[in-house]
Parts: sequence; C-alpha cells; structure tokens
Amino acid sequence: MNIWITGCNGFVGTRLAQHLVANQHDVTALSPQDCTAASQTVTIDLTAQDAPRVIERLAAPEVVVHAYSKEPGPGELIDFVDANVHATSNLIEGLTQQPPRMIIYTSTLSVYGRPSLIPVDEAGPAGGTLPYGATKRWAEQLLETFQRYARIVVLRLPSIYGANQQESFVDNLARAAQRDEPIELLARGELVRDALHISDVLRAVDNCISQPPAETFTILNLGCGKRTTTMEYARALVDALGSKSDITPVDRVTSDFDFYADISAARQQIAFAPMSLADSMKVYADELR
Amino acid sequence: MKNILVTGGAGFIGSHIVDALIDRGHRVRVLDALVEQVHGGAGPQHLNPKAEFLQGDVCDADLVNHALEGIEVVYHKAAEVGVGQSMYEIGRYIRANDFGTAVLLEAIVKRRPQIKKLVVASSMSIYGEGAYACDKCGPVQPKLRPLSQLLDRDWEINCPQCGAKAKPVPTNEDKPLFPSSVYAISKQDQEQFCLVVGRAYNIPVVALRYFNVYGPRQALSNPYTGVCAIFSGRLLNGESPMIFEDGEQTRDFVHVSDIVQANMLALETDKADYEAVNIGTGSPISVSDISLMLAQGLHKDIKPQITAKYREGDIRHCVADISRARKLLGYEPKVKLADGIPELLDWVRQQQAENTTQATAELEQHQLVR
Repeated sequence: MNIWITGCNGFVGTRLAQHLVANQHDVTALSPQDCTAASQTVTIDLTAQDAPRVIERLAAPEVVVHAYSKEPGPGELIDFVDANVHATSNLIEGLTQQPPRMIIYTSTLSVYGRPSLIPVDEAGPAGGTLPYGATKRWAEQLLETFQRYARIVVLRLPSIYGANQQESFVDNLARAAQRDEPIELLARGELVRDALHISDVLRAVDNCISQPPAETFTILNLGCGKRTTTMEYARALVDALGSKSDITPVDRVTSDFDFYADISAARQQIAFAPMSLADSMKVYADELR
Repeated sequence: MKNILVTGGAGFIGSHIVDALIDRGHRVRVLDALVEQVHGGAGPQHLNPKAEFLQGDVCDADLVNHALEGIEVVYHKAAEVGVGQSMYEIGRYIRANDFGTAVLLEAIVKRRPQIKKLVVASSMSIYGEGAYACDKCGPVQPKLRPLSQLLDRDWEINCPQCGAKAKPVPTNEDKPLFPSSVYAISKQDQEQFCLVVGRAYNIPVVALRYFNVYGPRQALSNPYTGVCAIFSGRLLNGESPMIFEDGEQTRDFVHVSDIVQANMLALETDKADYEAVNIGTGSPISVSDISLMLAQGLHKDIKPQITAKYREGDIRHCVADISRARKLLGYEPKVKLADGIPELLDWVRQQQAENTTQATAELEQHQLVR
C-alpha cells in the first residue's frame, strides 16, 4: 500500500516508517530532511506557505499517517501553532484534490488537560492547555472538517516509550535502572500514569489500516487500559531489566496528576489490545539490551 | 488619550473602530495587509486620515514588533473571514488567523508591561449550532445536523435525546463550542490564544463574539463573506439572492455601529477583562426575511431563489444571548434592522458589486454545496 508519513524524523514517525516498510508498504516520508526509515522522502516543509501546492503535485497515497508535531515541552507559542495547526491545515488543503482513503493522526491524551474523572473517555471535554494540548486539539478539529474527503482516525496517544525515545517518564526510569542507580518516585510512587510501548501503537495503526472504524471521523484513546502507578511501572521495568536499582517512594509532590484513559472504544473499533505491563517491559528491556 | 494599534484597521469593522477611537481623542496606528479579495487591489478606502498606516501582514514578526512600538492597547481585527472559502483555502486561513495571532501575541508578551489591553474579534461561528430547548428534555446543545437528515431536506434540529424537533433559544457564552468550519476553528483558536496568554501574563483581554455584522463599508467586492453584502450585490446586479435550505434559518444581524459601541466599552471598563462576550442584538430574523427586506429597500422586485441545497458546515439557528454584554460592558444594541438596512443600502447603491457566482461555483466544485 502507498502510505505517506509526516513527522518521520520523530520517535513515533521513525518507528512507524520502519514498521510499515517491514510490512511491505511503500512508505513516502514528507519531511524537510531525508528520512532513511522510509522507502523514499519528499522534501517538504509542511509549515511553508507553498506546502499545499507541493502536495498537490504528488501522486495521491492511499493512507496518510500524520505524525508531524512539536512535542510537549518548552518552546515558543508560534512554533506549536506552526507545527501542530498550520502544518495540518497545509496538509489537508494539499490533499483536497486527490484525497487519500484515510488519514491517521497521532494526537495526544494531553487534549483532556486535567480531567475531573478518570479514566477519561473520548466524550470527555477536550480543550487541552496551551500550547501543546490545545494546538493538538485544534489540529484534530481541522481534520474533522476533512471527513467529507477521507476517513479520519485520530489516535490520542499516552506517553510512549521505546528504545531511542528520550522524552517519556518510562525512558527516564530506564536510564536510571540500566545504570543500577537509585530511583526516587515522587508522590510516594502512587501517581497514576498512562504509558504504552511503541509496539502497541504500531499494532493500533496496523489495525486502523486493515480494519478501519466504520465512521468517517473517529477519535480513539490509546493507553494501557488500567490504573497503573509509577511504582508499578518502575517495578516492572526493574524486574524486566534485571536491574539492581532501589526504588524509593518519596513524599515530594509533583505538578503531575493522576491520569489514565478509557480505551474501550479502541478495543471495540480497532481490536486494540495493549500488552500487559510485564510483557511490555520485557519487550522494552529486550530492545535496550 | 491612548496609543492604540488596530490590526485589520482598514477593513469593514476595523475602520469603523479606528474612526471611533480617533473621535475619542486616541492616537491610532493601523496594521493592515489590504488583502486584494477585500480591498479589490485599491488603497485603504476607509482609512481615517488621522491614523498612522502600516501596510503588511500580521504574520510578519518584524513588522508586528515595529507596529507595537509605543502602543498601549491593541485591537486585533485582522482575519480572513470567508466561511465557505476556508474549507478549501485551509492553509491560508490558519496562517492568517492562527499563526498571525500567535505572532502578535508573542510580540505583545515581549512588551507586556507596555500593553494594557487587548480586544480581539471573535465570532458566533465558534458555537456551531446555537442553543436549543426541547419541550420534553429541556435545554439541548446539538452538534451539526447529520448528513442523512440534510440529504432528506429535513432542516430543523432534532433533540439529540428524544429526536423531537427542538426550538432555538438565545445562545449564551457558556454553550460548548462546536466550530464546524476551518474559519470557525481558527476564530476559536484566536480567542483562546488571546484569553489564555492574557491570563498567563496579566494582560487584560476581552474577546467579543460578533454575530452577523452588517453596515456601510461592508466589502461588496468580497464575494465570500457577509450575507447582507452578498444578497445586496446580487440584487444590484439584477439577480436573485441564492438562499440555501428553505430560507427559514435564523441569524442575529447586528449593525456595525453596535459592534463599535462594544469595542469602545471594552476599552473603557475592566469588568469584561479576561471574558468572552456575545455582541449581537438578541433578535432573530430569517435569511428569507433579510433577503426580502434588502430587495424592498433597493426597490427590486426580485424574489430570493430558495435552492433547497445545503452548505457544508452551515448551522440552522443562532441568536445571541446578550445578558453578559449588558452586565459587564453596559452594552445595549441601538440600531434596529428597520433603521440599519436603509443605511446599508445607501452604501450599497454607491458600490460596484462583484458577481458572487464564482464563489458559489467554487463551493460546488469542492462539493461543499449539495
């Protein structure tokens, strides 16, 4: 299948490109830099004013996986708007004349902000906070307007971990565990977090492609599907790595809050079945070795 | 006397605001790109000569920074405004409205002790459908009508709970936002940007959610926006106004002088700081009736053409609840349609109307009218 990937140089995009190429898809990266994981790269800056015209000249794909994003963290407002909203608008404008069968957008559970109840399902208020959560939500809304042209599947991702990922809290734990360093867990290790190994995301994308949801616009939460504390993540990881790290819960508070997503819609609509925590950490530990 | 920047200050609403500010003794600088679709390639025809004029794009960070020199108050009115057009010139709308606002806000934040207030133009379009009430279920806040319903030419809103027909009621600011066009999404983004950044940096921000604005200086040269202007333009050209659905959809038409009133009040009081406020009249009128009023006023015996087609993303009814504007701003709409329409038509008669057929054809080409 002819598939485009945006954001191919990020962690999720790279792993997606590698996975889809390995599964015999013809993967074109739309990227300002060469993306070695893809079959080929079309050099394009999705935030440039002429991006829609560049896209219009390309042969239409069957599926677009839109993973281009400015990731959470510090940065100028303008950069979040440019990467998360403006790039999305340019992409769909460029696809209007020859729309793909489906666009899969890797969004984020951050669109829920700090929910009053967990687990949060897709009907929960989604406004996000500026800049990251809100701009990702706005990109979702733009894609919703495109459903008359293409089936849209929005996958709201939790924190994603895997080899070569630098950003997630599980990867931070792994770096300490690999060095057998002590691990301190804030809020006594009782904080509930939602995280997935990248391979679960790859399977979710596979399932979207092979058995897409029935509706023309679908939002699906992805996540571990269970109330899981940072202590449980840390213990499973230390066990999987055979690490000698001591795990110490400390009272210090954190600005983070308890969160996990209701994934029943993804289970039902794309047969999403995340690995157990123990299995997930084994896969991750094998990657790290 | 304050030093005030008005982005989009050469446009329809912006130029009226500039006039009012200058009348009140303020020093005004205008930043406006003079977009050809609005200004027809001509210079700034409505720009107050006492205003300082900078031509350029609000996305140009250097220019915006320059435009903010010495400024204490910003009226952010620059925006691309065609709902239908936004659905195929998507990048252009997001660039101008989202990216442009982000550029402006970053420049404002860098000068934050200097900027005392930001007034941003928002839009009723961000609500999507207005508020409704069901006899059986009470208040309901429906999303857009499903495609199957529209294909059946069943236009009125069904209660999402029991399926009975729901009645439109005034829409207040607490109604959840369901923007249904790229334009509406971009206006929602603009408003939220300004309010969130304002709160974060203690820069008082007032977001004014305009309902359907009409009045003199409305660009007849722009066939993509403003139902009064579009209908008037067609009538002047001897053509029937084309009305989607059955013409019984209602809107809240507010005269531009009442929009100016709200903008002046937003500057004079701090009671609406950090708030979004509806600016309309609270009185609904059907699109058919507006068409007939315009034809009558222009002495044209031309009936509207009811197309029974629908336009992607269109809503059925939305009329403002202006309680918050009354309470916080002391706003009271002064111009009734019966007075405002003749004034609009005096303006219209002096204008060369563009043919709107192309705009409709573009919508049909993109399958946005069915």
